[in-house]
Amino acid sequence: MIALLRKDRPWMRSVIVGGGAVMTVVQMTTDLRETWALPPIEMKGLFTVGWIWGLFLGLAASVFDEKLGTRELLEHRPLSQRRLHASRVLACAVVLAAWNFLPSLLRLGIAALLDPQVLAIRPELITYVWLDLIPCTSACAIGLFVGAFPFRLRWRVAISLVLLYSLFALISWCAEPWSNEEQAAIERSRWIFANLHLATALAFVLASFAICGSRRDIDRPLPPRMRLLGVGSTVLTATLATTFAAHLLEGRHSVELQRKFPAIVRTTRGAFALVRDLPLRQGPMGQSIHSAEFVDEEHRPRMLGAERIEERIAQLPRPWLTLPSFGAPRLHWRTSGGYLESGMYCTLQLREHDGRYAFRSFGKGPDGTPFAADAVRVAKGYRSYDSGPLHLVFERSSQSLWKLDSELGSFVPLALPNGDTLIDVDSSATPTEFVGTQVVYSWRNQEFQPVRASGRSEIIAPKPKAPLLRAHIEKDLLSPSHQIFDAAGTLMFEHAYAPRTSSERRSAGLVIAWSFARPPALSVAGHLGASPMETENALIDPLVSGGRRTWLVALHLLFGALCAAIALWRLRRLGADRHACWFWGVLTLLLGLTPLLASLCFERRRAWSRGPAIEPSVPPRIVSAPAILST
Amino acid sequence: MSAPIEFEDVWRWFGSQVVLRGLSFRVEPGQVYALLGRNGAGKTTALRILLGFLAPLRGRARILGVESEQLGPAQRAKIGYVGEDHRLYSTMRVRDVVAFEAGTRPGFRRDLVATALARCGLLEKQRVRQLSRGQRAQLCLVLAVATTPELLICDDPALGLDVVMRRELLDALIDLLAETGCSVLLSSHFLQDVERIADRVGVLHEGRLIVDATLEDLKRRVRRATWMPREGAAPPREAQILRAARRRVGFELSLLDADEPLLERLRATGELAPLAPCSLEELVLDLTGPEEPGLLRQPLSSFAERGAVEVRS
Repeated sequence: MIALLRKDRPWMRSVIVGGGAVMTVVQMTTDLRETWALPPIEMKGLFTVGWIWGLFLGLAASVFDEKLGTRELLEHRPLSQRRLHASRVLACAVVLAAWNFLPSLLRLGIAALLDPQVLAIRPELITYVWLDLIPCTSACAIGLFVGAFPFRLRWRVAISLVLLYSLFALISWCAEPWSNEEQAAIERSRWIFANLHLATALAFVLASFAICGSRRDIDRPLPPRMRLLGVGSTVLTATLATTFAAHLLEGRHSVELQRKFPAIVRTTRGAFALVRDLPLRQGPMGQSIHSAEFVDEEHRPRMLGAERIEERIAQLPRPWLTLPSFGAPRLHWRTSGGYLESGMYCTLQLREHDGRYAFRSFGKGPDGTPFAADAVRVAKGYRSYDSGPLHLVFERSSQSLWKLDSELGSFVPLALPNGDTLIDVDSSATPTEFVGTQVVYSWRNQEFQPVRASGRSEIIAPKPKAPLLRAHIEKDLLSPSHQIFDAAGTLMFEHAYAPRTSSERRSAGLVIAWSFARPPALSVAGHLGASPMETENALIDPLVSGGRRTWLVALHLLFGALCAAIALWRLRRLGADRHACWFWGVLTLLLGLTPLLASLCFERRRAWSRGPAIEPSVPPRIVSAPAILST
Repeated sequence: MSAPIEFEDVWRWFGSQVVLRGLSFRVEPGQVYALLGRNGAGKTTALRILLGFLAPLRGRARILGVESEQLGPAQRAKIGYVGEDHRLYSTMRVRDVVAFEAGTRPGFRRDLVATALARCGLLEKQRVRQLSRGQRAQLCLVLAVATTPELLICDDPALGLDVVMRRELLDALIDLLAETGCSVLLSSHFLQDVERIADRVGVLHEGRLIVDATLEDLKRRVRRATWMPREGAAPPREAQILRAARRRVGFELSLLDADEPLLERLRATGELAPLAPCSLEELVLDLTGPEEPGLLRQPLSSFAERGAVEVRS
């Protein structure tokens, strides 16, 4: 094994020096204190450099002999393919070990040279550097695995990138939710991140042993093991990437659709109506003019005489749009806090037992009652490092002000002095002003200080307050419904949106069309298992989640069956064997379009060709009897 | 004792191009078998199939008793291989190459290598990339034989070497054979060298083996003669006439198993010079070369129109 490393020494040296230099430079760009004195928040640069170099390392180790033209020289020696591959894995392990230590030592050495009075460092913080370099290991394993594929190099690079993106996004997606948990906080997220990457690395290294030694021979079908492991994993991750893309495109077209849907407004006569925004017009002075038209329930324009729009009641919530991505593990939070959807206020606090930050949620009073939906945090301009951030919450519906008492672990009510009643909070002022019926206050030295006499009570008082409304929106990409209730809970207006105009139908058609790029199996799973509100999970089709649109699920299944039928028909025409037919048949049935396209790429006509017509065997023109020689 | 190498109706194609068409032959223990043929005849493909680097698409190739596709470490330990491009790790020095081979091949004889390197004038500190093509070929051969293989496979080992280097390489090979008595399968374009070393030759032409015979047999059975036809006469279409090449005066005939009746028929239609032995080079040229000097293959009909006749099986 060690002897085999002799041949790898040149590239190992180059990769250690190249990758190590880049990693050192990246570490140099971070303040020494933020890595070696205080735990770093996040080391994005090191993470990015790590996975890029890791992937390069894996691919380089796999294809070194092939590209040098020494593959046959290497393979024609009395060593098994697994042993040869083990030497590649060992070479990668040596490089990875070097990357985990040398750049950090170099960075500290340079710091010590440039600034001899460097602050005291904590060597144990190297674990944070390692944590950011763990993806380097999994990327390297992916490179080793894909590098053993018997395909052209450019295909291998493309496949490795798809694999890496899909798996890394999946790992980040798994690790991220844990980082918000109060007790385990970031610590658990880190462990999940690290363990998932290590498990990925292990799985791909083992898989690479299973397929090592596969030779590229385009005149023969792929070996069954290579098809199962190599092509199977490629198709699965390509399907994952296609699902992410379909999610983005579905979201984009549904946003377009919702933009076309009319908004609900209240007219000057107090009635509710639907209006559709018209394209911006240019005014005579060159200014942009917004205009809208009233529409009926069928979304057709209608005239309402002299009616005017008094106020817009509600907008449909925009669907979630971002593509799943991957990134460096978050090592610490340094933001203050905010609201969760549950109405609980959350803040990050330093835990005493381990000195790390964790989310902690607070409610009203000792029993931690959640705030009403209209509660807002009002503490602008009060944050100071001496007294700590001020956590004040104004609940508009009850016109009450709450202050966080961190000792009690809950919000306590805060009253204005002299029996004044709070009517509003002006967050546009700095610092925030609290408007009472008599005086306007600000918060100073842990108490309310009068600023001026309140003039706003006169402004606010004469204006008749609109009846408090509550909107209920049934989220759906294509046909959301909107109900408006008054404070007493009486239904005042409702509208079930649906694509009704040709333009709306076109956008809805595109949303549905993109849903066919998702795997039918996930469509069924989402239909049966996910909640109807599930729109942020890229793996679940929001069109069918929670038992919606059974007809669309049936169409997805039919589409999968059609893909399987096409794949099988083509393979049978090519003369593929039973194993290949089963493999692609099951994959296309479950995963739909992506495996069908992949089968066109991986199962070529040439590989299944029966070759030239068999000619009768012609004996040599000149032949003599075998001469048996003594040895 | 079973044959160390057996090809049995091996077919191989690359897309629509058929490279081997039912190749069948065997190399007996201790035999030196030379596989000859023009460029693209399929020699390297046959050797790569044999070594398990390429799979046959029909038929089977066996080496040391196992299917070439199942060739394992135990069999590879007994096979020496010299590729046509003498590929080595170019960043290594000669001593690194030797250490690498010694570390990866059990039974590698460093003493043998030291002697051979001294004889070839190779220095251990020399870098591989600084070696000449001939020196690399010699080093490859030395490394291939340093494990005292049972079977040596050489794919055109003398390709690109000058005459001196070629002779040196050949001498080294002959020494090895004298010492070990291993079986050898080699492909080569240098037919004079092959004549010196081979026991048996196979000539590949367009993927088919058209000759599989011992050298003695070939020399005995294939003869050449100059034939000057009388007015209007053309060479007869006989299976025994391998080739009739038009010369300035008459035809140069290559005859296989020329018996008295054939010679009588030729004498009856022209003047036949005494039969002379045929060299291997001439035989290969007759069997695989272009029909007319300066021309590559042409349809037999167009050739016949020019007044020459070629007979092939």
